[in-house]
Amino acid sequence: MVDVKFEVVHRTHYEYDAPVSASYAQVHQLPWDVDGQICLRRSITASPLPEHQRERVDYFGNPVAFLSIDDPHDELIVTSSCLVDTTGRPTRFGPVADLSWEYFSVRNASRPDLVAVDFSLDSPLVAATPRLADMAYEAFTPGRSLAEASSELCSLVHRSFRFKPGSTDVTTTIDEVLDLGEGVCQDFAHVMIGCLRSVGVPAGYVSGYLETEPPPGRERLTGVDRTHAWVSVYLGDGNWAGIDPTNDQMAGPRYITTARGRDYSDVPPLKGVIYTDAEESKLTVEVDVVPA
Amino acid sequence: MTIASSRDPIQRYAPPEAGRDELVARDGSIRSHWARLADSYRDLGMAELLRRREEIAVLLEQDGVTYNVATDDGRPHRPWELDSIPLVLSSDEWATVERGVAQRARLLDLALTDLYGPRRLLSRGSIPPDIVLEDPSFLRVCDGISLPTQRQLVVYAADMTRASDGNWLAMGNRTQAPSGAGYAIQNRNVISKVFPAIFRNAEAMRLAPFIRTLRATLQAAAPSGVEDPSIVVLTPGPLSETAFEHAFVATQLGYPLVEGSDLVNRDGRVWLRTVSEIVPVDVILRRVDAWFCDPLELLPESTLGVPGLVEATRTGAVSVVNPLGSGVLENAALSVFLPELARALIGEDLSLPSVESWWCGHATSMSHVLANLDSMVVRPTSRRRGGSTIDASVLSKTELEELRARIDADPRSWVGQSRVEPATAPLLSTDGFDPRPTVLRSFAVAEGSDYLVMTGGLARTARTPDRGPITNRSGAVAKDTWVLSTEPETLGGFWLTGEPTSAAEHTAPLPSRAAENMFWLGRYSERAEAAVRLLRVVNGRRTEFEQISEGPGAEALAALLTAVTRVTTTFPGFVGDDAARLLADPGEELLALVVDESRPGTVAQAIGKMFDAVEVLRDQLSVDTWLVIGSMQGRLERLGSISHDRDDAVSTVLNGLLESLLALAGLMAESMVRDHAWQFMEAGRRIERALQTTALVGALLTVDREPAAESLIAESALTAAESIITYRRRYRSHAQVDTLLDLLLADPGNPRSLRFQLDRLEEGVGALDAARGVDADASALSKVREAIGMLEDTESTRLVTVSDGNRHELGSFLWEMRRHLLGIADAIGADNFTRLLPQHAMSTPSEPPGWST
Repeated sequence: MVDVKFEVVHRTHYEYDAPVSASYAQVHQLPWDVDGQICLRRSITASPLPEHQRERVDYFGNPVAFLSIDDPHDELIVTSSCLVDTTGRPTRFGPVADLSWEYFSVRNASRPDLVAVDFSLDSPLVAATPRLADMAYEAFTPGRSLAEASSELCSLVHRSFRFKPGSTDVTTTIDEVLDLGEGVCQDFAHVMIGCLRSVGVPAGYVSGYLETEPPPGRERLTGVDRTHAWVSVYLGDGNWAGIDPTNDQMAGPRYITTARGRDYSDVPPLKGVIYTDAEESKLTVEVDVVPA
Repeated sequence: MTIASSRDPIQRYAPPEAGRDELVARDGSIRSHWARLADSYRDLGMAELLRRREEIAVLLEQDGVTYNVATDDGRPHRPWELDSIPLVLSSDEWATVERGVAQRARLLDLALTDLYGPRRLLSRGSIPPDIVLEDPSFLRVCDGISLPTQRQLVVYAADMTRASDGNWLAMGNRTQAPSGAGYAIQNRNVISKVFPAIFRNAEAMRLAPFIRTLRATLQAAAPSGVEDPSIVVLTPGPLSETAFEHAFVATQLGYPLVEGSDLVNRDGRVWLRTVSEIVPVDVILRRVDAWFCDPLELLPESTLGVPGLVEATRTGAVSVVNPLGSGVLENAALSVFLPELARALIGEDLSLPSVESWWCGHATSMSHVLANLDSMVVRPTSRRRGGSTIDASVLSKTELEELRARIDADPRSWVGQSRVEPATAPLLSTDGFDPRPTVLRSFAVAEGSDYLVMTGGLARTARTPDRGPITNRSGAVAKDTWVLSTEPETLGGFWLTGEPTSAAEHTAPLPSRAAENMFWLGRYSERAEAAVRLLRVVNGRRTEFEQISEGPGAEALAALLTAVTRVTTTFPGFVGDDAARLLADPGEELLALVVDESRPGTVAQAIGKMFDAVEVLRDQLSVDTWLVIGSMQGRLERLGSISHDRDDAVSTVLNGLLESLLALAGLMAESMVRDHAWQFMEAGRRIERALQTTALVGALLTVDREPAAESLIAESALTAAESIITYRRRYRSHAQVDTLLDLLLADPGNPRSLRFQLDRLEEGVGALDAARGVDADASALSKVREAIGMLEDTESTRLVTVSDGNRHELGSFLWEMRRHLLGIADAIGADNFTRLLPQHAMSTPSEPPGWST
């Protein structure tokens, strides 16, 4: 098997119409050895140069960087880059998921697995609801294997919603997405996570990248890739399976994981606090995922 | 002897038969530890007890003790109410409580350490993991953070009720940022002043060790390697419910009271913005709920915290007490599992058991709760998840069904508690002692590996015998709590025991925001005083001349009225389109200039702004300040009801206000240390007085008038500027403009003159610059000197020249001088006060992450 490697550059550029006296940011853009991928190199830089920058591992095990800039500035560029080997990312659920899905539901657990509990409870943006449960039970019929049920749920979510950039934003709730019938990958992921939790199956939100292929005959353009989000189904004992309802496929070697949380709010690629009189800020995000 | 005083306050005392009473035993006899005290209250008699009850109210008002409750009118202060009669516990009873509270604190500390560490309690199932993992107060971002102290839970409070069998039960745990210890000490201060003999004879245990221990533990909480830690008390601000207490505790501890905006995160640590520099902060005693403490990692909208605070605690650069995340211990469902935890973690049974509780997340418990719902108190597990405690016993059938449905829909979020009828304790009413349900909050503070429990606490008593919550919000009355000692204590004041104090080295740094408020306190109090003086003069002239429509008197009165509008900048007033009507009948407008708080420039507005500044400065000002502020508030409130045709009443009120303002000025002059804070207030006062004097002179004397009118006007100006006596003594003539200008502008010896203000500013700003180590050329001082130079270069004879009926030279001099003064004020602000830019969240991509093949 040929090694699959990607070089990723993720550049976030803020421009303000008045000086910012201080910026504080938290960045979840650091891939690590998880989900079968191996991170060969990674770094985060910012301009202006942060007077304080520190990397640590968060509650969920993800690397995260804190940075603060205390000199007045009117633009901020945060650039993360990495080299990741994704050869080992599985394209199938694996044998354990052949067990019936009820086996994985926390409702039937005798001994609490804290990860399972954490990822099956309601989280800030994803709560189990009867509406989501109804959707889930279409795929989660009694005795069915977790792999089959999850794959069908993934297709169901994929079919039920139209991918439409700009139709939602980070504040859109699941109910609104359900009513709207459209959304972006974050919404697809949240809906599917909500469905899984509604039947007691622990599931997480994965933030990362996906390699885009240029249309046939065209050259690869730079800066046109995007960050992506998909779903991780918890299989117990620290094992997860990645599945992408936006594209109705397993999150295989074309995917790169940067962070896993209960939902988007645990792992936004970049969040921050600034102090400024600026009324407007212009934000440009450029992502390049280049086969290496 | 009057009938009232002979009446026995206790004779009629009849507690409910079923319950437990603190004062009287079942057989009707006075409990033994109460016997001597009961006699003392009987000896005092009702009349004296009621007189002392008044005294308590006065003392509380004078100390400015409030508990803030949100109200519609925007002034949320509710005076603190304190009963005359303490809750009294014998030393034996207390020993059980003390042991129980300390034990609970130890136990909760172990739980806290585990929950933000290995979480074995959850993985082993000692606590159902949902309870913690689903609680919004469990802060995942605080995982793995710990304080250098042996105990992580530094301050703990237990809400307790005594059941009918005489045993105390814990109703709830306070671990987020427990309030009440400061109020308890304040209660003690007042009761011991009002009942000195009774208090002395009772030999109640002292509360001082609590604060002393808190201070020692805060010091011990400093990051390792820090020898003389810098410690601050973090408050949400003056609108917080317990703002009084935040300032009180800060003052007792001797640490600065700060708001989030006073702090800044730089180089990975936390600093306090002071006027001269930023100084590192090592320990934060927080009175802000954890969620609000860091907009970066917690609630993004919060402006009460510091971005990056969590990160700074993570690296150990700063210690936050109680640690962020401690609020999870308040989860009501946790209480259900405490007995097992006690056995598992410390191998003991709880000495102070919790009220019997059932977590509805367990099916059998939920059935029990639902089956007995009408005899339950139902609580949401976490306060942050919304909803409040519900006494199901008072609900209607429909309401019960609704509650049942709510619990059924989300059982894990609910806890049922058995109802406990709190024991009654005597509350002093106008007729004597009344038995009223009473609860007690007890406080513990970590001391090394153990806990010190405050020998007393904050007791609260319902006003009526009815059931219902006994909380400050619901209007309960506070009580001092006396623990009777068996043997005499060794006395030690707050400052007396074993701590090295070197005052000179430990002057608490002055936060920039406090400095700015001091400056505005100076400006507004001076502005109020100037307006009051001017309005008094005008009132006087009205009495003399209002009935006369022509001649110098009428001209002078009209000039004074228009000057009032100009000096107070309350346009249009006596110079606008409606001027003719208002000049003919000025009463209403003049009253409005005193009482209308919504109108900029009025006396009421200046005093209102002054109050706002004082609220923020609670920890900076002498306690006597509240004496003056309280009386001023009273006067302003009375003003609201005055009708404008009662000008005699207006002048009485103006005199009263002036008296208070002078008292305040006297207090500032005589009771405040000449530190930075004082310098800023003084600078504000001087600038404002200079502005007021120049405005007054400009408004009254730039127009040339015939001598009789001019003399009247000049005399009024001198009176308003509090210089008339000096003038008469010095010049022995009727008032003339040239000599007036000498006295009010140029005389360096007249404390009301422009020159005097500039000289004081030169000294004051110079002192502030010296402290900051800055160069005069680059600071406000250069502007002060320019103004002095301009004044020195001006010949007063030139100023009085008249052309076209006007003193143009005087007008342009004053205009130029005012420009200088405003420039000085701005420069002081720019030199010393941090202007914080508004806080925003960084925007996130308008198109969220998205990709589809």
